[in-house]
Amino acid sequence: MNLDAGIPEGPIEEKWSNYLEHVKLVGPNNRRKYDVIVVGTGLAGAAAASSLAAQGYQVKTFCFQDSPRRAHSIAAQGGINAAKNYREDGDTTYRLFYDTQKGGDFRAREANVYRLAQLSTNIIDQAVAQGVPFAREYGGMLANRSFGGVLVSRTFYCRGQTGQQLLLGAYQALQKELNTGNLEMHPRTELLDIVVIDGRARGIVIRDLITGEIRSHSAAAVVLATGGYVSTYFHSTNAVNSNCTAIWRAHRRGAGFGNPCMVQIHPTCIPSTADFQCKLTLMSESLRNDGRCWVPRKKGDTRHPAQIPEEDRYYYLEERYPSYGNLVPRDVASRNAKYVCDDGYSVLGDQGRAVYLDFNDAITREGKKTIGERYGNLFDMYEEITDESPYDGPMRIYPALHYSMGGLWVDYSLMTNIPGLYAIGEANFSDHGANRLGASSLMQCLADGYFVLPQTIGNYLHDIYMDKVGTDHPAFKQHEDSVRDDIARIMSIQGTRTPLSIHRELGELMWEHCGMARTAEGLKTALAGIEDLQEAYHKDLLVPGVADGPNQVLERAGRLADYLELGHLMCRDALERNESCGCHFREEYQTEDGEVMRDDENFQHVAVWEWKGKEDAEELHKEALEPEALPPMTRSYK
Amino acid sequence: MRLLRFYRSAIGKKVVVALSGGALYLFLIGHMLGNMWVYGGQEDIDSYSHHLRTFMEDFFGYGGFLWIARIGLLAALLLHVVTIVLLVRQNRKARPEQYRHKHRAARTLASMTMLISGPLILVYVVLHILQFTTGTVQPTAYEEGAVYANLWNAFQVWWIALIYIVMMFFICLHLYHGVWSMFQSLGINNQDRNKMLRMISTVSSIVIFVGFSSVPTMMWCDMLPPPTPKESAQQPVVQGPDRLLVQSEGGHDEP
Amino acid sequence: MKLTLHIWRQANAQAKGKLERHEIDGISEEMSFLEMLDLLNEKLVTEGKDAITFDSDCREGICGACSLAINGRPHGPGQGCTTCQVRMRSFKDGDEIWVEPFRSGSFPVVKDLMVDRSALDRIIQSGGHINVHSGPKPEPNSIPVSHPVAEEAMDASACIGCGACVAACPNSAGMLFTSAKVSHLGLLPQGQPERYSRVQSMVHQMEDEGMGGCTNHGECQDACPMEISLAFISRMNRDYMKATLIEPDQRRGKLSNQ
Repeated sequence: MNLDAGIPEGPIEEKWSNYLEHVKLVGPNNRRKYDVIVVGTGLAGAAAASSLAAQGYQVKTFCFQDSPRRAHSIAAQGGINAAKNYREDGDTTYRLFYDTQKGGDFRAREANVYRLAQLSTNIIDQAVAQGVPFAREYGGMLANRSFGGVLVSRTFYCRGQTGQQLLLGAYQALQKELNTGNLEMHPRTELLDIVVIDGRARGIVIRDLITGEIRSHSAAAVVLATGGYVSTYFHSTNAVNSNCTAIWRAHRRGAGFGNPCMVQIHPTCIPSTADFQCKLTLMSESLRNDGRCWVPRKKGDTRHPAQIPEEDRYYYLEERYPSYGNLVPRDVASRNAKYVCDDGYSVLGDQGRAVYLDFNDAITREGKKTIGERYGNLFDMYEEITDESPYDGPMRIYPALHYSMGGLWVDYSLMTNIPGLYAIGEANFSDHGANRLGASSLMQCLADGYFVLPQTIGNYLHDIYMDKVGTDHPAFKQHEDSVRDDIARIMSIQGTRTPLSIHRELGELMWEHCGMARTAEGLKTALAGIEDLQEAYHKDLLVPGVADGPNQVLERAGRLADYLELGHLMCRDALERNESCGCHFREEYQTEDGEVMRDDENFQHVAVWEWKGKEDAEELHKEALEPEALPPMTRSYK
Repeated sequence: MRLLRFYRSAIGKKVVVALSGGALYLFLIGHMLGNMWVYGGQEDIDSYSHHLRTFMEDFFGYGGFLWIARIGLLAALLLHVVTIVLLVRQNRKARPEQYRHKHRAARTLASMTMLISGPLILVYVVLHILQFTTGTVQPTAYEEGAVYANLWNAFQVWWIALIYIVMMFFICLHLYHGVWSMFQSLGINNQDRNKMLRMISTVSSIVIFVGFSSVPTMMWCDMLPPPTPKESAQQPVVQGPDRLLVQSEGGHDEP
Repeated sequence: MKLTLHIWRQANAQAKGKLERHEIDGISEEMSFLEMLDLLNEKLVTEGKDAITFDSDCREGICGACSLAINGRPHGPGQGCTTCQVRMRSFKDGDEIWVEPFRSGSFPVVKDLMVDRSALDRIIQSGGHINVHSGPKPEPNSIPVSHPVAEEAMDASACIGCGACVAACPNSAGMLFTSAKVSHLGLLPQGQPERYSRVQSMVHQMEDEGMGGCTNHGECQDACPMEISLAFISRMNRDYMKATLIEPDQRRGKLSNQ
């Protein structure tokens, strides 16, 4: 497997301009001769598709939603980082690079991260020009807020709906291109296969989710912008339809999968209460500034929290981390909540897992009004969902999955190891290493979509239009048939297990063994468990309805096959990485005080997995990371 | 033609409805204020009616001003009705399949009954003109120009008084929604003004209701003195077209 | 909690639909309405029956995929929330609930509770954007935007495009949706160059989609999960009047003939 990242020469701050100076281009009058397929129309996909169409390429977009505006980028709340230094508080491109790289525990590719920091300022300019209503100060200038553990104020925001507003900007740009005739949109379609001919990505096979028809589309290049894969865990903050099918099917056609075990867990989410809960809702991390985490000292203490006296409360973060208390980093907070629940102190008893986040002290100290002003909307959201007011008693919270740093391996130009196949946004692995900083995901999606891909894709396209391959090529027919066979097989099992039940079981296994804290033994248990589930899937699956019409159970079943395989790979990757770094915490590798212990000597690399067929185990390749601008250091919170 | 293009759109039609409705609304206010002469006594109201005919006589001739107003109001009414018919047709087409379970959240009694109160008012206006303007329909004694006496005679009959009061309620209902809608359709509404505009429409529709219905109520309850007979020579004889007019809605020379 | 559900089943856009009765037991108050439907679907699937098709995605009230009316009200009971945010505690044990798709001539039913809302996308396509492409842009602080204007634009821009306004309107009008986008872009300085052409093309597209006109009931505002104000409709009316009646629409080559 060729893992040459193609990083340009020169000092880190000149790499991107060096790249641009030497990149090959396609002339404006030739661009209409190239079809480009963009799968997924969230922030990254819509931004890329609209930019490419505006340049003159013939772009086709595909998404499973009924409209691009519904992609899950819309749910991002907090904001977007940019090193504008509007506050004169010492922010620079280098500092944004430094924070991102350190936050990712030095497991990201330096050149990509630095480019991201450089492009961050352009994103704000672009979004404002599109009419994104960023918050403004009274003098009319853009407002900033500070975010997640950095020392500067560099986050731009639109109330709590930043992701929505940025997505609408990109979506509108996309709708606009429909008028030029350069763009063709295929909503309610799902990618089921990538067609690779003579080593180049030449098109895709999709299923029309309304008619059930299997169709192919050919193109000079295929761009995947299909987001992350934490839906593998069943319960996550992702949308219920977010899935890994596109990147996984690309992986099965030869694209390397980078760092699959790197997924981020957010410490403060509303825990699952109802059996049939399908989704976890995230509560802003800022709550821990004033809330105190505790559980009762006695197991199974069923008293109302207000009636539990101080001496019977276990403020586990304050006791274990006296200096940082409730403000320990995300991963530490998450892990400790898990530990106390593992020990049987969950405040939901047998009903589920949760800890208290108590605002009583803050309310007594600063008054209900002050606390209400600070967290009012979050408290309302909590009350809407749980029917309990955080003013009267503690919140119940528990960590939940919400982002995947891993994804398809890409080089500096965002191309996977299959020529002509690109991966952008959360779908690739490149910029966040082992842990992502808050307000960085929007930044990465838009940088990839608006500014990187439109300038790098010409380098691949400039010489391939001469040998066009259409959907009449036999390979397309062959791929279509294999997809049809797959669907027919799924429909014909007619067993007893619903896709939902298998998925939920997979989620429990993954969460238990490949979640916040992992052990070699647990991962092996999970691997065996997943293999059992795969067998249940192939022998005992039940999918009613028809294949030639809307069938949401069938859609779920198809995605589940990929979750099972990807879940297996995630466990293998976690097992293989014998170190702790960022969100990947192996219990065997921790310092005396329970911090992550990195092993730079043996694991300063990206683990890239190659599919070897259904029967054979995946093969591990390594892309060594060679930090020059910022040598790795210990990530200390003391 | 830009005007035609404007009228072709639903927003353009709404603006036409708002403007024509606004003209009728202003007329109603004027009409109601005119009615208040009743409280000045028989003398006052009769001479007010006469004054309307002689207003700007030098310029338009006797009754000329009134005719201009009548034509204007008729045009407004026609525009109002025709445009609404066109809009209703478009709106009906927009939802072929109805909800099986009906639900109402923000609709008020007034807004839901616009298409009932509207035609009722139209019928009423025609009858009202036939009764007091042209005298074509004479359920009670009628004399040209003797405004006070005509009113008094009519409102001694309980069902005529009742019909007038009930119809005033419908007009009030129509205005309650219509006046605010007018501000909304003309783009006058915004977040800051909304409360005030709602207030204007509520208060003015109530005032119009109270103002108009007070006359039949008080006459029926004998709270106003009966008319004194007087020589008809005081009034100039009206001839010609006024008598021939059958369906002019604007012909409100008497309250 | 035990409930009786009357759910709209329709095989496709052409087929005739009907209400289907389902009894469901074991509902807990914490469940969301859609989780209740998930539970019902799981039951149907185990019985080998066709599951009820409905759109949903983010399940936290921001994507706008929910497209069903509960007891005749788009997004069901509760102010300012979408179907996925409705909790079962809004209902009582033994309640009968009617579940229907958003109903409008411009939202044809795809299947069961799933509707085709591409009309809204076409309205945005007709003009709901600013014509810029990616590349270097002026420094954003070089064009100050006053705080209240930015906030008002954000109020309008909060629209999630669910179409509840169209579904709630007795005339199935798209005025609130269209006016929200017209106002968002029309308020900001970046949207000024296309302000008047935008409002015309969007309004005309809205009518071409077969949507009705506004009769100012305010049902749209009431059903809107983002609580977008009717005042934006008034603003759009004003802009439309100005655009069609006052603003010159063809400048080129006209001046020399005066």
